[in-house]
Amino acid sequence: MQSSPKQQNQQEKIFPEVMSEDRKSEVAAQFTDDVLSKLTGAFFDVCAIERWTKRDLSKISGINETAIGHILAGRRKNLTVETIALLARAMKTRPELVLHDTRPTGNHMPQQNDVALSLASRPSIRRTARALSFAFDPTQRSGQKSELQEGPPSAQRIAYAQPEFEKETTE
Amino acid sequence: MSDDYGSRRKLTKFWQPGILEERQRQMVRAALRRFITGGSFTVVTKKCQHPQAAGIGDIRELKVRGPIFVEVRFKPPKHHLRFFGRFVGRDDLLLTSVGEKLPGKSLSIPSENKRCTNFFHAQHFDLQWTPKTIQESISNAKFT
Repeated sequence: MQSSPKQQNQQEKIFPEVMSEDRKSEVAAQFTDDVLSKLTGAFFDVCAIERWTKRDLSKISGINETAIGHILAGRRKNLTVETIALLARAMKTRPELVLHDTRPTGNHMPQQNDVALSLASRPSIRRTARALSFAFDPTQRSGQKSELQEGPPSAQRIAYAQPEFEKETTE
Repeated sequence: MSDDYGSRRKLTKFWQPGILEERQRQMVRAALRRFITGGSFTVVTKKCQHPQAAGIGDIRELKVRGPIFVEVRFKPPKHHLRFFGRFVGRDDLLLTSVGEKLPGKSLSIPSENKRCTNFFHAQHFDLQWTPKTIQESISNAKFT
């Protein structure tokens, strides 16, 4: 079994990958775009709900009215945390920085020995699914043969994703 | 931004370095990425009553006859870059032309609209596919 990146980190130092200049400008632009879109959205809200203008926000926050215009239009470079906080608070919102973990989480296609697949192939689970399909499928109650009788919906979905494995289990 | 493709500017060229200023190029990419990932957008409708908000929205519904025609604005607006297009169904935006406001040269919305309509006809796209209102065109958006 492969160890996760966190476990690897405890064992040995991972060689750091240096960001290229392109990558630096890309990540800075993405974050700036995120901040600006949120601030613009908040400004739309205060315009609609409180009927406030940039002048009102300037009075509340103490930031120059022209500067607010430049910030919202994306002309102001390198916004400070203080400016973002003041402007956001003036617009009746509370800013929060969310750091999403971008490390790989080990997501993968289901394998033959996965728990979900082994559960789906269990007779008791199949029975429950069949009973449920019987309860909700009127064709079964009237004696007609239904597609659901071939197996539970979950098993069918897995069969779609893993045709070879399902073939092995049904044989 | 001096790259022309005949009389029509080619949108895909904007992704290449050297056409736009680097900061604006990255901001264009970030905004389009936000559209693809389902991020929040601000939309200025035809009936916008807040002039201060009208100038800073990401998407603006243009006042034209016929199906909804929009422009996408990019920040920072140094070059006043606009992409024009139409929504097809919900959250599907077809961008058909690009425009740039320069000193002494303004953008002609009717000609951009005509170009978009011609594109739809050339591709056998039905104009009936465009939603009736801008609110139906895009989800996760704030309208004013």
